[in-house]
Amino acid sequence: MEAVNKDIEIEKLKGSDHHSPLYEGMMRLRKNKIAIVGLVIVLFFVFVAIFANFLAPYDPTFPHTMPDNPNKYRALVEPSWAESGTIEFILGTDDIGRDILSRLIYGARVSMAVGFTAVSIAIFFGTLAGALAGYYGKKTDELIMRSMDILLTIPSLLLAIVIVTFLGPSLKNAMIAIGIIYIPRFARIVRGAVIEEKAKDYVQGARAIGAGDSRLIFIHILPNCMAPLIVQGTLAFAEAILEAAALSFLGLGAQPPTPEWGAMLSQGRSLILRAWWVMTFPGLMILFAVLGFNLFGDGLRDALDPRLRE
Amino acid sequence: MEPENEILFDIKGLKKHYSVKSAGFQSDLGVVKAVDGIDIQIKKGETLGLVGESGCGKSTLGRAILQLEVPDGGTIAYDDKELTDLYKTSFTQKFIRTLSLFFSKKTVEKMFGDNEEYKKLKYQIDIRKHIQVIFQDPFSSLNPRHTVGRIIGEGLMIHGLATKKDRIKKVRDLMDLVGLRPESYMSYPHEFSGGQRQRISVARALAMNPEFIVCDEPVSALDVSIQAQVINLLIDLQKRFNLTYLFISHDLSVVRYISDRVAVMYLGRIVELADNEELYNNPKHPYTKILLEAVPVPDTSKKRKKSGITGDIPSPLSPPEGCHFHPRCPEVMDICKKKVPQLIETNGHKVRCFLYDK
Repeated sequence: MEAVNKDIEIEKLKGSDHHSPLYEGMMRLRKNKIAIVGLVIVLFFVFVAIFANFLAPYDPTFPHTMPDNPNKYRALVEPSWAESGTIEFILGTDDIGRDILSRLIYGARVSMAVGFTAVSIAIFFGTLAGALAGYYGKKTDELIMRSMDILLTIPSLLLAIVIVTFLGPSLKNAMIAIGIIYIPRFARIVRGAVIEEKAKDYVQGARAIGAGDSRLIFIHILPNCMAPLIVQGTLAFAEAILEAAALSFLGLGAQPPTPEWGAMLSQGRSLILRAWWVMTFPGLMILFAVLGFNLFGDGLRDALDPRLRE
Repeated sequence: MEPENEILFDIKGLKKHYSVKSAGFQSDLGVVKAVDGIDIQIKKGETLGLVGESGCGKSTLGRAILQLEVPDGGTIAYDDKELTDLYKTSFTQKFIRTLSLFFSKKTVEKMFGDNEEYKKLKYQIDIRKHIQVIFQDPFSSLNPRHTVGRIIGEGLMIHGLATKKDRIKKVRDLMDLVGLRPESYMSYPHEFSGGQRQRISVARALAMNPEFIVCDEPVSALDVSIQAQVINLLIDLQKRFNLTYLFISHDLSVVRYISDRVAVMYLGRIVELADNEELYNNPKHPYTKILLEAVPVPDTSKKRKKSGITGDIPSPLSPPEGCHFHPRCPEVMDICKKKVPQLIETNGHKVRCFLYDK
C-alpha cells in the first residue's frame, strides 16, 4: 500500500496527466511483444484495406487479355519469381487473367468490412441483451439467456448457413448472419460482467444519489465491463473473417467477381495441382489476418482483464 | 429543546427476508431473516450508532432506509411521509422504467407527466436527495472510470441542481470542505489513498445538502490514525450542516465516540437501545455486556475478565428458538428457550431480555 502511494506521489511530482484504467491497460500492452506483433499485423491489414485503391496495381475484377489477341485471357500467369513469371503480375493471375495481388489487396477491404460489421452487430445486440439480463435478473434474465442458449445449441457455421439461405446468399447477408451467431457469446460475457459490477458499492452509491436505470446501466456499469468486451471483440473479429471465408467458400457469402479471400480459395480449388499460387496466397492472407487478430486479442486480454493478470 | 426530539425516521416492524436457494435446482434452503421486525426512531440532528456482529443485519437495515432494498414488511416513515408505499411497484411503473431506458427524460415526461405512477417514481428519485450514504469499502464505492469531479458532481447533474459552471465551482468547494485539494478534480479514484477516498464519498454525499446520511462502516477499512480524521470530519460536518447520521459499525469504541444513542443488534433484532453514556456505563443485555468486555483496553495494569463469548453466531438460516442469543448467553433461563422477549423500556433504556421483564 505504501509503495503504491509512493508511486502516486512520484507521479504527481512529475506532473503527469491523470490516467483512466483503460489507458493504463494500454501501457501494459506495450510491454507484451507478441501482442505488438499482432497489433502490427492488424494495423497492416487495416492500412491495406483503407488504401486498397492506391496500393493495388490493377482493377481486381479486370480480366487481362493478351496484347496481341484480345479474345485470349492471360490466365494462370506464374508469380514473378517463377520461370515464366512476369514483373507485371507479382503474384500471378488466376484462371481468367485477373491480377491476384490486386484481388488480395481488395480482399483485405472485404474481410475487414465483414469483421467490423459482424462484430459491431454482435456487440450492439449482445451487449444490450446481456446488460438487460444481468441488470434486471429474474424473468428478464431467464427469457433472454435461454433464447441465447437456443442460439448456442446450433453449430455456428450451420446456423450461419441457415440464416444466409433464409436471407439469400450475398456478402451483406453473410455479415448479418455472422453478426447474429456471435450475439450469444457477447450477451454471456456482458451479463456476467454486469452481475459482478452491479453488486459493487459504487453502483449502489449512484443509485442512492438518484441515478435511474439507464444511467446506471449505460454510464456506470457498462463502461466498467469494457475490458472483456474489447478482448472478445478482437478474437471474434478473427473468427468472423474465417467464418466469412468459409461461407464464401461454400458460395453463400461474397458472390463473384467480388475479391473475397474465401471465394478465391474456392475458385482456385480445382486448379491446385496446375496452379498452386491461385489458392495458396488467399489462404496465407486468411492465416495471417486471423493470426494477427488472435495475437492482439490475447495480448489485450492479458493487459485489460485483471483476473488473468499475474 | 424542542427540535432535538423531532423524529426524522420512524421505522415500525421492518422486515427483510432473503430466501436462500441452492444453485441449479432452485430448491429453497430456507429463509434468512436479515432484519426481523425492527422498531426504531431516528431523531433529527442526532447520531444513532448501530452495532452488532457481522451478519446481524445492520447493513440491511441501512440499505432499507436508503431504499436500496425493498422491505418485506413494516413501514418506514421519513418526515411523516410514508416511504414503504413507494416500494409497491406496479406494472405501469415497470413499463415506465423500461421505456425510460430507451427514451429521454423529456419524452417520458411528456408521455406520462400526469400519471400517478410516474409521479410516484419521480418522488422516489427526488427523495434520494435528502438521504445519502457513505460505504465501507473505499475501493469499490467509487466508479473507477470517473474522475473525482464527476463522481462528486453527479448528483447535482442528475437532479439538475446546478449548471455546469456552478457545478464545477460547487464541487471544488466541497472538495475543499472535506479536506481534498481542489486541484485533483480531474484525478481518478485509484490515485487516492483509502482515507482520501472516504473523503470523496463524504463530499459526494454532501453535494446535495442531505438531511440524513447512512454511514455504513465508514471507517472500518481504514488505518486507526486515518479513522480519527474521518470521524472528526463527520462530526464537524454534522455540526455545520445539522445532519443526522445512522452510524453502522462493529467497532464499539468508534461508536461511543460519535454517537448520541446506540442500538445493539443481534440476528436481525435490536436487543438494546439506550443513550450513549447509559449504554456504555450501564449495559443491561448480557450480549451487550459481553461485547463491552471484549473491547480492548489500552491499560495493561487492569485485568480483564476473561468470560468472553462462547460459540459462534448461529446460522441465520435456522436461528435458535425463543431469544436468539440463548445458546451463548451466560445467564440463560428456561423461558429464553421458548419465548421471544419483547423490547422493554425503562427510563429511555430499551432492552430485549427476560432478566428485565417483570
